[in-house]
Amino acid sequence: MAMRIRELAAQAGTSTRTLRYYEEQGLLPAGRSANGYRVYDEHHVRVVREIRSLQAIGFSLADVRPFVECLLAGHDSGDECPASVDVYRRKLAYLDRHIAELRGIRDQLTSRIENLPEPPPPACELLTAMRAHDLGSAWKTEEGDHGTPGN
Amino acid sequence: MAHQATNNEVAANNGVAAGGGVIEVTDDTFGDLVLAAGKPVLVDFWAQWCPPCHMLSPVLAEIAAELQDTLIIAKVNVDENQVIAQRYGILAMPTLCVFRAGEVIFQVVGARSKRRLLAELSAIL
Repeated sequence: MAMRIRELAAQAGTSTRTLRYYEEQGLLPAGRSANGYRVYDEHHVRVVREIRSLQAIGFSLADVRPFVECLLAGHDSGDECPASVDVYRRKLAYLDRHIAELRGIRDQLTSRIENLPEPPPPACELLTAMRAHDLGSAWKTEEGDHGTPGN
Repeated sequence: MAHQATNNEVAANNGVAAGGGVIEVTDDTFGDLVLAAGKPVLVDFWAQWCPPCHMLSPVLAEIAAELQDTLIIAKVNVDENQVIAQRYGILAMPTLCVFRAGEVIFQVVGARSKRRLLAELSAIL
């Protein structure tokens, strides 16, 4: 099932330039045809997809390397090897540090919210309500003028 | 006559509503249920048209249940009970008055959080 670099790029969803770069980094050893073209098979497709999916979750190429080597050594999945598990453990430690940091920030924020001074308690002023209904002039009309106009 | 019986019955229980709820108090029942109560009474002077009063309502219901052994919580609608509202000079709603042995020992205006109200009450009860 030999394919050339363009077909591998198409199947793996990337560019030929990227594939040549992976090869430079020692992650994608290719065979050569009689007339010098690189040839690949379905194992290479698997490797490239592994590289891309690990990069998509933020792994560097250095992180990815043990996974690729695990696949090239014939394992069914790239994380079955001790060196890959080491990478996982490093990622786990990073997450634990960040979780602790985020918890600290969360506690500070919660504490601050609880200790903020409370705004003035909302209330309804009876006099304001009376003024809004213009009761002043209504009373005067009913009871007769007791004060100067406008008072 | 039924009205009178209800007053006496409730007064005999020191005005405590079953289940530690908020009790309704009127111009007529204020003397028995608030001034003559055997426990301190927090009176909420409120009005139907006042949104902060409605904000406070669930807070009072929770506190009534939590503090039912030490405090009675009562509501007085100021529009329907103008005699009592005027007697205590209520000009803004909600006004919260705590009565003990017939005297006002604490008075505040405005809706407040449960946390804040509990803190204020614990300082005077």
